[in-house]
Parts: sequence; C-alpha cells; structure tokens
Amino acid sequence: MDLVIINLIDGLFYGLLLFMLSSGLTLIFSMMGVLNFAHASFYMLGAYFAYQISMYLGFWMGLLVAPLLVGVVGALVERYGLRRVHQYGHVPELIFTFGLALLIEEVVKFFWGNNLMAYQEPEILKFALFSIGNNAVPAYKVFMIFTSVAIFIGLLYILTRTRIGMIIQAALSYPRTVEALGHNVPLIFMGVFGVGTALAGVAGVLAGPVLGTFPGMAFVLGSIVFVTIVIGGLGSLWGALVASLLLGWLTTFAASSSFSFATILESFGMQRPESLSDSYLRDLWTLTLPQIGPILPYILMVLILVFRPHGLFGKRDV
Amino acid sequence: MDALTDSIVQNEDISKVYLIGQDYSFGKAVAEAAQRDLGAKKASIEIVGNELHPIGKVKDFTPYARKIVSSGADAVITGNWGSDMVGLGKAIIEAGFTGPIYTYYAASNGITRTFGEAGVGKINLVGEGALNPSGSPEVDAYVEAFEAKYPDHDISQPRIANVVRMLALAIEEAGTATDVIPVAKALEGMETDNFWGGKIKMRAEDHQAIQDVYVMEQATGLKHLLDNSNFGLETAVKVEMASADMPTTCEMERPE
Repeated sequence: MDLVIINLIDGLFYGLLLFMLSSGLTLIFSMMGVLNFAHASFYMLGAYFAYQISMYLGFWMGLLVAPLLVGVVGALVERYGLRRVHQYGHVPELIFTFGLALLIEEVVKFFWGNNLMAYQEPEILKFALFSIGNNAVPAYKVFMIFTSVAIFIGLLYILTRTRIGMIIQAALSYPRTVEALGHNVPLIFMGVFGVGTALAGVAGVLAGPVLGTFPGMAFVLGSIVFVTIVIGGLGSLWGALVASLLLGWLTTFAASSSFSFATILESFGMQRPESLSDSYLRDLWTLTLPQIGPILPYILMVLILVFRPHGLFGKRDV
Repeated sequence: MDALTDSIVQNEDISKVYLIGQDYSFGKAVAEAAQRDLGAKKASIEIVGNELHPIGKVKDFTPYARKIVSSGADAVITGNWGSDMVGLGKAIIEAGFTGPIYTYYAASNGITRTFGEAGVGKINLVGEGALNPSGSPEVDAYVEAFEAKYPDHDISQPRIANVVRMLALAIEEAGTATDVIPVAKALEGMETDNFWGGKIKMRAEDHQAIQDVYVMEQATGLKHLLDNSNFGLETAVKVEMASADMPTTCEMERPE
C-alpha cells in the first residue's frame, strides 16, 4: 500500500514534467501546424543555461532567467528560420526543426562537452519533506509538482479568459480574418513559439538536477514527448495533461512492479522448460514488466492511433 | 566481482543485497557473477532483488529506487555507467537509501562531481587503481603532472598505461616489434610494476591480468580529487592480487 501511494506521487512528478514539455509542443502545433522536432532540445538548453547561471547567481536566478533566454532563442528561431521555411510547406519545416535538434545537441557538446554537468537542486530544497514507509519524498519534487500545476492553471487562464488568449484562439482557426481585423498574426506566432519553447526551458531547468544534465537528455525525452501529444490529441492542452499523467503513472507502476511474463505462460498450463536455451519462448520466460516498462507508452500510442486516430481529446487527424 | 563480493562478505552489516543493471551483456554478467559469488561465499546473504532495466531508455529511476528501499536491501550492486549510473544513484539516495551502492563506473567524467556531498560514504567503486592513499610518490607525481597538463580530465583509464608499458617491455625482451609471436610469448607470465605502484601479472594460462583490486568510497578532503570537485575516492578495502586463486578453464591454442 505504501508503495502504491509513493508510486502515485512519483508518477505525478514524472507526468507533470512531461506535461510541461508537451504543453508547449502541442500549443505550437495547434497554432502553426509545425511539429517541432527540436522541442526537447530547448528543454536541454534550459537545463544548460540554468546550470551556467546557477554557477554565478544561484539556482533561483537560473529558474527565472534561463527560460526567458530559451524563449528568446525560440522566438529568434521562429522569426529568422521557421517563418522563411514556412512558405515551402510542412515537410521543409519538419526537416528544419529536425536539423535544428541535431545542431543544438552539437552546440551543447561544443560548449559544455560530453560529460555530465553537476547541476544541483538548491540547498534549501535538499531535504526529505516526508517519508512513506522508508521511502523519502524530496522537497524538490514537491516543489516541482506545485510549479507545474501553477503553470498549467496560468496557461489555461491566459488561453481561455484573457483577450490575448481569445486572439490566439481566433488566429488558430481563422488567421486571415484575424489579420484583416488588424492583428499582427506573424507576431502572435512568434510569441507562441517563444512561450512554447520557454515552457520547455522551464521543464529543463527543473528536471536538470533530478534527471541529469548531459548532451543526450534531449534525445532521451524527445520521443516520449511526441508520444504524449499523439495520445492526448494534437493541439489539445487538456489532452496533453491527461496523456502526460497517464504515461507518468503507466511507466512508474510498470517499473516498480515485479510482474513476470512467466506467470502468464504458467496460467496457460505451460511448464518452465528445464533448459531455457532450447525453448523458443525463452525470452518470454525471463521477461519482466520493468524490463519493458519504457516501451509501454509506444504500445499505447500505436493502440490509440489504431482505435482513436484523433487521440484522447484531439479534434484533428494526426 | 570476486574482490567486490569478498568485501561484502566481510561486512557484517550486509545481509540483503539488491542487484540492478542495464539490460545487456555486461549488466547480466554482473548480476550473474554477484549471484554466483555471494551464494558460494556466504549462503546467509539474501538477494532481495535482481532486475534489469532498458539501457539508456529510463528517464526517471525513482520507481526502481522505491523498490530497492522497500525491499529492505542493505547494499546495491550495479554495473551501470554514464547517465544511467547517475540517474540510478541519485534516485536511490534521494529515496532515502542509506547503505552502500557498489559500482564499477561511478566516478569521473562529471559523475563524482554530480553526486557530490550526497555520494559521500554511499558511492563505492571497485577498480584496480587507488590513489588515496597512492602506492608510491612516483604515482603522485605522475597524476599531478597529468592534472597540470589536462586540468579538465582525470586519469580514468590508467589501464591503458599498463598495456603500453607491458607491451614495451615485451618488445624489448623479444628484441623485435614486427614478429608478434615472440612478443606474445614474452608477455605471457610477465610480472612487472603497474601504474599505481603495485604489481601486475599476466597469468600464463589464460592471459588474465592479476593485480591488486580496491573497493573505494566517495569521500572528501583527499589528496587526489576527481572532476575538479572536492570529492574523490578513498580506499576502503584492498584485495591483494585479486582472483589469482581463481581456477581457469582456458584451453587456448597457441601458435608455434
């Protein structure tokens, strides 16, 4: 029972981290129709910027400044890169962001090297807030959970309750009309791209100390972010939230379970063979759920695409 | 592993061990060897967990760490490296685990620095070279000269120096560098000083390098530090000429 509660908390933490990444990505997609392959690279930039800043000014300044820097970089990329490529259609855009992801990784390696960075959480949050059983819950994780919830509420408020949000939503469906009404639609796009990448930056700043700051961090998280928005439905903020939490709990519970596929085989009345190397099912006999935990989201994505191509909350086809 | 399990068996505080590693040949080999050696040396040690995780695919190691803490393990053995090592180690320590974590690769390349204070007394590493204390003043001088020349690097692969030294000796002894068979024969059974001021011997029967193996602990306030941090590795247990007594099944055919 203790383990279930602790897994719920851990899954919530991981799910909300995914949400911070996928919310920006899904926002950008819904606005501009651009699948930003470099999204996780902005997450990595957030972590590295924050690390560099925290060396001189401490963690909190990093948390404040690094996402802004990432947002500025994102806005510049939109203004001088994507906007030019946009006229040639979606495939060049896709290739552009893909190339950008590779470029950012190489730039990070060039400046910071291949090694892990010793990016640490702030001293005042370096303690166990409470324990369930013997398992400690670090204060930093609780802080992260609250930060991402606050970001979600803020985003939702801006998008649905403010004038800017109304214009953004209108530009989403009728860009020409909004432009005719006197709004600067390219500027809105640039702003959305900047905010979306800044969100990824926040995720990087917060996750860097926990999940490690290294040049592969974008690659590790990149694919799962796409899985999240496909499951949630492309362009849906609520979908991104639900899918993130779903994946967070799915991977957490899968990793902490001790389920073994041998029990399924045994329930079919099969006997574990004496010598496994002769059995054509030898992999199934030794496979456990934690071993395949990290690929479960991909299986879920395939199932969603087969049975509900719009995703859980999406309105348009993938 | 022989040396590592020797030190675990001698530690009275350890009765439950958890094995976790990356799902590929080395991770499996570590788990298998740990199971075999612990079982043979001290049957009362219980292996409370033995699992593999996908290599380089785990984003958050917390769920694995929860299982380790809940299993009541006193020590963890892992063959992880790189970000999988740091992710696992940090998650285990943050989850409230207080025992030692025995590793092969949890030092240098930013890892020591990243663990920092949290790793002191917890991160243990088994390896063939110890610098705190070091074997001789020459070793100290060598390491200091290296660090002065390459301030951003540690001597993390000194076994390469051993290889070159032994090869050079063998070539001198054989008197030729182009005829490889006499060189190989000279290497067979060679015993010489190794990089750390100890002895290294290439066992003639199976060509395994036999030398002192150390279990080292992350500590602070040491002479030789890693990653330009305040932390380094301090020798906890020394196993002299490790595995020299291990039988071999090698039946290699040698060229004439």
